[in-house]
Amino acid sequence: MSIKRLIFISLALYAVICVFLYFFANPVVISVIFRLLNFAIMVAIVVYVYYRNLHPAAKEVIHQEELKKEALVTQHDELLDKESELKKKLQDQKDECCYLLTKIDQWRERFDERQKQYEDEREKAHDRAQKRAQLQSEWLGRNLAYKQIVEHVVEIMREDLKNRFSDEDQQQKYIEQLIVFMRKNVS
Amino acid sequence: MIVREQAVALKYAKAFLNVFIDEVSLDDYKKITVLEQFLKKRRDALAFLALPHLDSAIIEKSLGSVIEKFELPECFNRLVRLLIKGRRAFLFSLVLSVIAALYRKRKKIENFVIRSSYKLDDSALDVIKNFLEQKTGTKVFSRHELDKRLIAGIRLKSDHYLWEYSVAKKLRTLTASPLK
Repeated sequence: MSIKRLIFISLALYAVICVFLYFFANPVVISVIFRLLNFAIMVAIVVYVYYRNLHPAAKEVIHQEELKKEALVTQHDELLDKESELKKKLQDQKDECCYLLTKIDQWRERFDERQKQYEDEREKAHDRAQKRAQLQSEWLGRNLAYKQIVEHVVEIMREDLKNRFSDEDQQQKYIEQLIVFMRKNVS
Repeated sequence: MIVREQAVALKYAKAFLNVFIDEVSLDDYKKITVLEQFLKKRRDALAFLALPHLDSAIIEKSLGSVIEKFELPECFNRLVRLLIKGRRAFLFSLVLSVIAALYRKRKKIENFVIRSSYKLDDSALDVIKNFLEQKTGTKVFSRHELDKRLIAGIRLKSDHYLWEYSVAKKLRTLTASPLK
């Protein structure tokens, strides 16, 4: 029902009541009724003004507030979802971290073992190199001594042989042996 | 420069032997080696050949007299004329030594120096010569020298071969033997 029709019906009803009261009611009843009617009219005017001017703004404000509330509820839900997601992620990361820590421990153990192996091998290689150097130096020393001795001995032998072969007969015998060897080798 | 001269001398020597190898006998070869030795010992004997304005007739005459003196075959005169024509008479000595080397190679001749600590008689030298000819499969020309450094023994050496049996060699081997 529109407001115009409502006003029209109210005025009609007011006129009917006025006519009825004018002809059938005493003044006390009339004054009570008109007081009630005036009060009702006042209330109607207030309601009308409220609905006409104040109601849309209030409705808009309420609507805005409701929208805000809905947005906040949605945000709240989203934040709750995010929180659960983050909790899950955190848990996953904690698990991964535990796994990685285990791996790191394993790797560290392996690394320590390998380091120990390297150390052992290095020590062995060092020992071998030292032994080799020692052997080489010993060998060089022996070789040097051997060479000196050989040279000395050869010099003595050379002098001895020179003296021995200074005899012409010895020379002749030696050469003749060679000539005999060559003669035998010639067919 | 020396390498280039060697290459040129090699070409002349090869060409000479390609044409005249049959005309050069073993006796001629011996004469060539005698001349080669002579020119090696007296390097300045033919130094005048390098003079730029020397008359070619003089060069031909002087080299001809050398060839005649050492009784080389006539074909060497043609070699001399060819060298003079090419203005390379100064290469005569080098060409001669290359000819000797190529002749030895083509006729399978080895020049051995026989060194011994004791003077060898002719029969011993013949035995050594036969021994070498049999072992090397070449014709052997030898020269005997006395070498007291051998202490006792014989050393036979050519451009390609070395045979030694001497006290000196044994001592050398002993000195060079490594520590076991």
